[in-house]
Amino acid sequence: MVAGLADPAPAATYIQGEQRMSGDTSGGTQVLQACDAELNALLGRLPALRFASLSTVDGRAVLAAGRLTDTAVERVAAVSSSLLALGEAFARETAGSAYRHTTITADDGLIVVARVPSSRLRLALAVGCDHGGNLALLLGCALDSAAALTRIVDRAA
Amino acid sequence: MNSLPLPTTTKLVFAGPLGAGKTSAIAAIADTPPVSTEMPLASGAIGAKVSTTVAFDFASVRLDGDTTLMLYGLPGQEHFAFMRPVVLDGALGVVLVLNGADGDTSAQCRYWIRALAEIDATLPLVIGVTQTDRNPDFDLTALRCLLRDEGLAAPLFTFDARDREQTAQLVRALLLMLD
Repeated sequence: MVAGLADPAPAATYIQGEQRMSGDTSGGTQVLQACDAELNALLGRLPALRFASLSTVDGRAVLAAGRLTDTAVERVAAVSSSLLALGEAFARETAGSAYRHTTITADDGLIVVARVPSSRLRLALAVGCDHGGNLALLLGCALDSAAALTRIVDRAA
Repeated sequence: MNSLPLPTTTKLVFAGPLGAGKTSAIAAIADTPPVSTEMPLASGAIGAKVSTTVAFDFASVRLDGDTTLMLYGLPGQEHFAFMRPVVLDGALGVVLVLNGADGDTSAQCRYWIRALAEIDATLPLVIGVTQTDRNPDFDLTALRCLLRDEGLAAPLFTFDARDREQTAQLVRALLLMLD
């Protein structure tokens, strides 16, 4: 199982992002609710999925769904931001092009970190599954969800 | 096995709080534009600062001969503390950059000295304080007393992180400690 997901407690949704998103939009709460619904829908798409985390690109937790403690949510948000930034820097330095996502293969799980390419807010999506997951399926689900989250956030602009 | 003829490198790390000037200092002395992991601040600008380092900064400086300085900058925010042992691994010294415009530079200093010591208490340290012109109450003597109380003999400077020569002076001081 992916580190940080050892708690077998039922899935719980963690919301802390209202101020981070509602501070610059009149419909922040509605946007958060729609994003929260998308994260939970994402978790339902693959049985092996264990968590989904949405964070700002400067490492602040916005939303999370799945088996993450509050502490893990904050840490996952910070690490997601660092990974996304390193991915962007790597793509820029080596390929001179834009970053899309990072995949991590651990002994007991898979993780995808992807940019949510909203024109309005810069967000990072991290999704993890246990050893029963498949990288192609996980990546597909993560990118579909990132696109859905982008539509939700941009629609509110 | 024969060792590879690798050039000599010295890894130094710039540490300190958000907005102190670590990224500016590295950029000021780098031979080429630094590798940056700057991201926009979600909470909006803090003063003139609109972005922050979220992984690390990196740049190199070629010294005379085959020696190259590898300069890394740590993120200043607490939630990126997990990057500190990663970036400090293999470092030979630290330039601690403090924000002199902050009302409590001593608290910053104490926090960072202890945080760095938790990772490697043997790392040589020089301390540079920026933006002291924006704080009429800034007191260098208080910082010296703090260093004495902490049992730390570290060179202490005020400097402009955007100025190549002033930043280079801190790095020279640190390199002298390594000799």
